[in-house]
This record gives sequence, structure tokens and C-alpha cells, in this order.
Amino acid sequence: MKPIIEISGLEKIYNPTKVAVHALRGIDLTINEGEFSAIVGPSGSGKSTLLNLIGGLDSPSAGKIKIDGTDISNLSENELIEFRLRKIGFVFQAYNLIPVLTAKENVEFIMLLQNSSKQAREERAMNLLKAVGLHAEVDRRPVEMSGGQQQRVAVARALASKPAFVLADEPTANLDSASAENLLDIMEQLNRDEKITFLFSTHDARVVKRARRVVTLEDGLISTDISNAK
Amino acid sequence: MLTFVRLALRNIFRNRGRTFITIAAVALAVLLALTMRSMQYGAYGNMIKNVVGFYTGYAKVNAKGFWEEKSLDLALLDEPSVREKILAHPNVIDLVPRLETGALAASEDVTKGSIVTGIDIEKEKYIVDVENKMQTGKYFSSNNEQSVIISEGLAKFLKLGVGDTLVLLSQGFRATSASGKYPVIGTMRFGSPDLNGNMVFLPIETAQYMYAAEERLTSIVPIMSNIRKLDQTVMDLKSSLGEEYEVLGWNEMIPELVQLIEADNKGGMIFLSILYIIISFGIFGTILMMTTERLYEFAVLISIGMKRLKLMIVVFLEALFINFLGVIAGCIIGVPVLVYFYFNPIHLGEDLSDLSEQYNIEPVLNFSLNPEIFYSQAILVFIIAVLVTLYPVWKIKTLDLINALRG
Repeated sequence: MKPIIEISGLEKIYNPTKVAVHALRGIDLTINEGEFSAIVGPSGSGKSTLLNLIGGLDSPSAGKIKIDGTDISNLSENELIEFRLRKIGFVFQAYNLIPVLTAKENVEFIMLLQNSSKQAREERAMNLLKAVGLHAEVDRRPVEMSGGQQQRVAVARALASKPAFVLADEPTANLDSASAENLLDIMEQLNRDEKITFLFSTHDARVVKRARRVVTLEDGLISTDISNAK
Repeated sequence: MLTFVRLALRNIFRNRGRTFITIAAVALAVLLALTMRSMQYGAYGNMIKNVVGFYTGYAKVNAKGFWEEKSLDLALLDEPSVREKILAHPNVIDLVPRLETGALAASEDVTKGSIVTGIDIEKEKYIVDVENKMQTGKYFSSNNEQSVIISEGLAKFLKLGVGDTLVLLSQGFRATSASGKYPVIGTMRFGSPDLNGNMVFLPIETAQYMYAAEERLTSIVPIMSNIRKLDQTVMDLKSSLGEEYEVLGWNEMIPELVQLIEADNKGGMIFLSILYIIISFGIFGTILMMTTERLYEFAVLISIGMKRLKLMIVVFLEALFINFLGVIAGCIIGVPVLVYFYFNPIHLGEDLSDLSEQYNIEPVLNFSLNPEIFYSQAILVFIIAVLVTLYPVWKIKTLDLINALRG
């Protein structure tokens, strides 16, 4: 299996000059292509910090992060933005979408930032929205859709740039049970059929139950790393 | 780029209430700035009209050196060719000839230095309009009538009334002796105490005869159809009349008035600056609210791969559109308001009326429709609003993604 995320000796210290807080104390982790993994842990365990570092939203105090073979630890801000655009699909907890754009335009937006042609954008956006079961809602704006539908659009948008993996931060946190199950069904299907790599940060037992690998963090260190082949 | 413009436009209509408040704040700012500046310009116009229009005229043609020396010996010869040259200018509709000099005015027991002005009884209506300022008696019936009209203050000082005799003693053209004894046929009133206490009017031919200055004038006042073209007209007349004559605009004749207006304008600018500061804070309030509300959204957009510069452009375009709409709305509201007050100036109350008459200024708050007010204030408020709306742009530039995503 090809490694997509390779982390070695990762440390993150907040306020190094004042009262230093060691959020991550030396993480070694590899996520391979096609994984459907979850990072779990109590509040303050370093889960969000790890996700931010993997997502290139923050820089480590020590250690290395390689995404799809590229060491992102020393990239400049603009290089990181460009890298995120091409390699990482994001699904956030809520308010993911651009409110003034329709579902289709939201999905197209990423490709627009990548300078894709109009025809390619439209074709891929329609295919992705169809894949998440929203082919009838393409012209709706976020405010006209349910929370579950919005998160499905967010998944479609995350996939629009053909990223190396999708990073989903508590994607089901604001959804009711049915919507959450539906969203997870779609993600699971995309993972199974398209071999798309998903990495979740979650508290949600439903996500943990479906993940084939669960990495638990405690006090900035990996306490357990359990693979559960399904 | 077109997508970013479209995105910016759609964002404007996303939160209509907030957009409306921002547009209203900018529009109100423009309206206040326009009104304030229009009143200032109107007041200056009024001051100029009162000081210049009621006595000196907006421009004068003299013989070279007269304005400096004020000597009757430098009176110009009233030649038809000079009149023709002046009247040939497209902005000049008529001429007012004058013979202005001084004399000792005496009644039976009292004497006083006075300003003697020989006037063309018809043409002078363009400037002093003595006939309409008459307090007692009647106006002249011809340009060679042997009589005088004196100002009310001088009449009071000399204890003269209609039917009494005024004696004038002076020096005439080229050192001749000039004197005359004229019946007072009327008294007139100037707002300015200075003019009111010193003025003697004679029909022009009578004055020319008394001063032995037949066919001579101290000045010719060109009457213009468009006062805004004054500077150009003065320049044109200077070049067409040549070196022998001097053509002076009111600002050269009365530099004190220019200084007074400049000083007042500086004071006005201080008030305007205070207004601009208030305006800035008003607009900043809504922008701050908008920025705070959208920090998470900005962070999401940057996280998914939108470069900060592109996001800054979108937000700046939003601000530009909103500010532009605000400025346009302000002008649309401002134009009828200023037009109304231009044609219906505010008349001051009784107390202020007396005060302003003392200073020879009409007791009226005039408004100006000078187009410069519109574009200068509209552009200025627009620039202020744009500068204020640079805040979200700066916020995006310095946005801490992690903190913003945490909300």
C-alpha cells in the first residue's frame, strides 16, 4: 500500500517562550492509501492539533509530515495553500459551504481555484453531486438544504480537486442520526468503490464503529492504534 | 476574475440588512458632507455677492496704475473702442461706467470725508442699484441732473435731509479745483456701516463736469453672464485690452475677502474633518460586525485552498460595491435637498438678521450647487469608506486560521 500520510517525531508546543503547552509529544503515524481511519481521543488529547498539522493549517514545532511524498513541514504559507488545494479535501464540522453559491457552484469553486476548464468543472461537479445523491439539488443554495445535504455537498467539494485524501473534522457532529448514517454510507461507499482515503477526527461512536482503523490520542501521544479489517 | 466579481456581488445581497445599514451609513455621510460643504460655499458666494456685488463689481477695467494710486489723474478716456473690446467678450453682457473719487462733504456746520461715485443712472442698477436702496426722496432722472443722493449714515452725520444742500470740495482731473453745491434729492441705505456712513452718488455727467474729467472714467465694470467664468474673462480682457489697461478680478481688488474666506474655509475643514471621523466610525461599526461574523467563513475558504490575496480581492470588491452604492444613494438624496435649499434659502431670524446686516451680509443661509462639491465630497467619502473597509482585508491577511476555525 502506498503511504499517503507519513508522520515522524511530530511535536507541537504552544507558547514555547511562556508557559509551554506540549500538545503533541512525538507522534509517529502512517496512513496508507485507501484507509478509512479515525483519530479519537478526549478533549485536550491533541487530536485537533494533529489534524491541523496534517491539514497544513499549522506548522509543527519538531518532526516531519509527508503528504503523498511531499514534506509539508517547511512549506511557505502560499505553498501550503496551493498544496491543500491540490492534495487535501476538507470537510469541516459546519458552515462548510459558501452561502451565496449553489451546491454545484460550491463544488465547482475548488476546481475554479485550480483553473480547470468550465466544461471539466461542470462535468465533475455533476458527477460528484450525483455520487453523494444530490443530483436533484444542484441549484440549491446552502440555506435551502438540510444539514446532512450540506455535508454531502461538502464531501463532493472535498473530492472535486481529486485530493490525496479527505480530512474530515467532526463531520457528523451537527447532524441527526439519519443524516449522519447517510453521510457515512456515502463516504464509506466512495472509499470502497473509488479507493478514496478518509481520515476523521471524531467523538462520534457511529464514525468510530465504521472506521477500519482507530488511532487514539492521549496527552499528545498515540495510546492505541487498532486496525479492524472489515 | 469575473467569478470573484460575481461572488462579491452575491455576498452583498446575502445579508441585506447589514448591506442596507452600510449603504445607509455611507449615503448619510455623503448627504451630511454635501450639505455642510454646500452651505459653506453658499455662504462664501453670499459674502462675495454682498461685498463685491453691492459695490465694487466682480471685475474692473482701469487705466494702468489706477488701482494702486487711486488718482483721478489716472482716469481712462471713455473711448468707444475700449467699450467695444470689452463687450466683444462672449461672457460680458453689459458695462457699468463709473467715476469714483473722494471729496470733503459739507453741510452748514459739519464736514466729512466721503466717497463720491459718479454713476450711469441706468447701468448702475446692475451693481449698487441705488434706486432700490432709497430710504427717502427719489432717484435721479438723468445723467446730467444737478443733484446728489447720499447714504443714510452720512445724511445723519451731516444733519441733511431731502431738499437740503450738500457742498462737495475736492481736487479734479490734473490738479484742477473741484467743487459743487447740489440739492439732496434722496437718501439710500447700505448694509455696511462703512459704506453707509460715507457714500455720495452723483449722475455720471454731473460728476465728470465737477471733476473736470469730461469723457473720463475711473473704471468700467463688465457685467458677466456667468460669474463662474470670471477668471477666464479677466484673463481674456487683459490680453485683448493690452498693457495700457489693468483688468482686476474681485479677488485682486479685495484680497482681505479672499483671506477671510480662506480662513473660514480652514475652520470649515476642521468641522468637516470631525464629520469625516464620525462617518468613519459609523461605517467601521458595520464593517467590524460583518468581519467578525465572517471570520470562520474566511478561515474555511483559506483552508480549502483559496489564496488570501484572492479572498482579500473578493472582500475588497464587496466593500467597493457597497461604498459605491452608498455614495450614489447619498448623491441621489443630496441633489434634490440642495436644489430645494438653493432655490429656497434659509432666512435667518430677526436677531441674526440685524447682526448680519451690520456686517453687510444678507441675513440668508444660501446653498451652493457648485458641481465641485458633489464630486469632491462624493470622492472623499468614498475614499474614507474604502479606507475603513480595508479592515476586513487586513484581517484576512493576518487571520489566524486555527483560532478562526475554532470560532
